[in-house]
Amino acid sequence: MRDFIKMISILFVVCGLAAGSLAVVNAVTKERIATYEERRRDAALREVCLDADEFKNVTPDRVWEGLRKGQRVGYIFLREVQGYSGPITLVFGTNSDGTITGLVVLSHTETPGLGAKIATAQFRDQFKNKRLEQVMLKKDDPAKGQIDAITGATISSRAVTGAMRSTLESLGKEEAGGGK
Amino acid sequence: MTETGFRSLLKELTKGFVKENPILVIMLGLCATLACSTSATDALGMGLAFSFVMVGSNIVVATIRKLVPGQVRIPVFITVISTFVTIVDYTLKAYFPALSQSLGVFVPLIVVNCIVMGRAEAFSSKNTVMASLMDGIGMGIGFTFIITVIGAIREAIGNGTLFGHQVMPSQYQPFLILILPPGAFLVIGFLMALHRKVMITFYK
Repeated sequence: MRDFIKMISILFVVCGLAAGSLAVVNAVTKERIATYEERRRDAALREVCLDADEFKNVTPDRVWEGLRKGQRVGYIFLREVQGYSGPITLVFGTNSDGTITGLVVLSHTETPGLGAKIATAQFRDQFKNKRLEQVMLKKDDPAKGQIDAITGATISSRAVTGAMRSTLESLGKEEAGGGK
Repeated sequence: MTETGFRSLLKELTKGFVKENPILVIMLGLCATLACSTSATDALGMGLAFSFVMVGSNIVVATIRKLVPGQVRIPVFITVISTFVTIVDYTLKAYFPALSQSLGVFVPLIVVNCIVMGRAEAFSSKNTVMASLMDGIGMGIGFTFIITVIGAIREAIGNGTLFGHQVMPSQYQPFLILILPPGAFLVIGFLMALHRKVMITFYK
């Protein structure tokens, strides 16, 4: 019985200390991490919509309008999608007629050396100046697709492409619906 | 410190390099080795992050080893290791964002690296803080060296580059299989064979 209580109390103390030290570390670093992530997101907004000099958050942390001297020059979307080994956060911009102006991978946990290549410029730049019907992997749609999948990382490539496509599609529907 | 004390500490340090190399001899933590050795840069990053946690957890486990009853040692070790990894992860994110950006994926992966657990169980729970520190450093160096070699081989043959620089002639057609998981097993297998040969020749 004595052993029993000793075990429980030691485990309790160790877990308590672990939780306590993590709480301290979290409290100290939380703000810095948040500011840093916000700065990265703002840099991503600028990168995917080079024409804009100001950004208006339309849907909180999801959709932005890129403005230039008060005039709308494009939209920017932040999308989270399930990749091969975890969520992928994408930021991409389109100009007013729906052509993609840029893509940035904000965060991902894909396999280093394979799926992680979705964050390379070589993969991302393929999307520039593409329209909805072209945003498809060549191997999935040989006729219209314009995007080369990363070798050995089809699932990651498909996740990125699919997320952008579905966003553009829903955007198109919304506009068509709104026009009626 | 006595001469023999120094000798034995040196032995704890160097055993991780060749004789008890964590990847080639102990053969623990192969999961992390496979996942993070697709390029030399990634492998080096994983090796450094791993070494840091290895040393830290060895010190903490050796410090508390007499207070922890045998029956609950495993949960206590796991708690110590994962706390350490999380602290490293948060600190990197907050104060070294650029480094965290390139190591980001690997840091949480260290929790599942069973070498850390293995050393806590087999060594630092039974030895002094000083000896455990040496053991941790030695294991860290041994792991970092071998995983970087594996990464360099896989990157050079499987992608034609080394640390991101083109090393193969441009006509070279990369053997993609080396970048894929089976390639890691092939490379580790060949390195193990080489390692056995070295052991038989020099350490008999």
